[in-house]
Amino acid sequence: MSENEREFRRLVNGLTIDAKPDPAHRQRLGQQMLQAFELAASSASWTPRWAAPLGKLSIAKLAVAAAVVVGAAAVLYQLRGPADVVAADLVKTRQAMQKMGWVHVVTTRGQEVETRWHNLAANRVFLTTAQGAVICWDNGSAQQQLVYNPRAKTLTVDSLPRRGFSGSGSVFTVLNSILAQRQQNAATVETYSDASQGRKLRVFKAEMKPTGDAEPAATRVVETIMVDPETGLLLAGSTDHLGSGGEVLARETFEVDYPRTGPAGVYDLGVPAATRIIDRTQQPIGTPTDIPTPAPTGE
Amino acid sequence: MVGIMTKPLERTGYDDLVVQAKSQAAALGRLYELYYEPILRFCIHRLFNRALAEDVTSSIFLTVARTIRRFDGRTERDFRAWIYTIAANQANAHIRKSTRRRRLLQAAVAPQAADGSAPAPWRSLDWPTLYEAIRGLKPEHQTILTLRFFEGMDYDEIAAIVNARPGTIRVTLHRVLRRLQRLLQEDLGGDE
Repeated sequence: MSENEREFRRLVNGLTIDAKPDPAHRQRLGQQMLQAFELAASSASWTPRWAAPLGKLSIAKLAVAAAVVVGAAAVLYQLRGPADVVAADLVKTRQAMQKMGWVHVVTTRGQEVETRWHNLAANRVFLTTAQGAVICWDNGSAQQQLVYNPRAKTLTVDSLPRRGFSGSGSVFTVLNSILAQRQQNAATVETYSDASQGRKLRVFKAEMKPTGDAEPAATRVVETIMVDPETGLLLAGSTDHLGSGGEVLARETFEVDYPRTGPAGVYDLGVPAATRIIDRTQQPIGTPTDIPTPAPTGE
Repeated sequence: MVGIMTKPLERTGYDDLVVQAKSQAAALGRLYELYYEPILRFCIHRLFNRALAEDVTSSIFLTVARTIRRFDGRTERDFRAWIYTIAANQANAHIRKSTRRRRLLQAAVAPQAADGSAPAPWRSLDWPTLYEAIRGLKPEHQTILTLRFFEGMDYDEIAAIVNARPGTIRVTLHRVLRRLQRLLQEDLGGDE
């Protein structure tokens, strides 16, 4: 060792930095690593190098394939516990959110911004858009949909839509989607720690198959959600719709907070009190315009 | 004061573990237990920020888990060189793409001033100053410096990790230290 090195060694010996591991990170990463190992094993399509010369023989191929399948199954069985850690954590997040009275979500898609208030107890959702539209889906006692059109200045009362999940539980759609795909081994989930504005975060990054509401050309969807490690509550996230070349076709981000109260009705969200109401729930089934008329015979 | 210098891992008898870890989760788990702390420490000394170091450590071990089946080595020495290569590459990649590094660095080391016991002529040197100077080096040179002085590796081991000859490492290290001295003297307002 040169004098130069010895001198530098003495120098750094005189300093100190905290490199003590955090047991929680150590344990969490250990579980994630075994989970990643399991996923790699379950999708293994490799053939051991020693088996390559034997590959020409069909029986040998079968034997190698069987060995791989048995090995992968054994690893899967052995690691079933760690594999469920991520799912268990996501379920805990859902449970933590369910205990909250209100969930307030601001979603941004390009220039579009939507704000939702989910009243979990009453099973009611209020939505406002940047253009001033206000929608309420009351899946609770009223079982109706209210839509305020800021251009027409009308408030339409209608029955709930038959399609789409508009209940207050829709706030769990992202979590449920990850859990469902994970159950089918269709999602890989990585977790890591991060910090933002002095706040610790636990991040779940899930790469999944596109679902029905994804961009048509998307081949993959990456959901990234950030959770408060102490409360387990979902705080923010993003959805990236990726094309076949990995390019981002569409992106939306959302931020979540948990206010004590929220709007009691659409009028709290800026709908003018004098707005004309169109009540379609009172319209009898089969109005004259709906009645088929016979085609003219030409007689 | 706790010294930051660490001796090289002098372990033998783990060669079987490396072979088993390619197919057995339990063996991989044992390797993880052996290497978690050294790799985290390496990342802290390369990235200067605990949260970032934990993230990169996570990324390193997840890479190991996904690719260990394709790992050619059969000894612990092979594995050690392999995992430190992954660590060095990922830390360097992070440093290159991180535009926030300066702020992170300042935030990370600000509360960790030296206790003033460093030997002369560096009595006024502290971590922020040293890290600022190290930042002035190329990422590859930072890696060599970290492996040598914070991980206590010999030239052969470092050479295996950075894919160079031991003699090259020795010469490079000599030059890096001279460059670092110059940077430190500039930082401390001294004359070259």
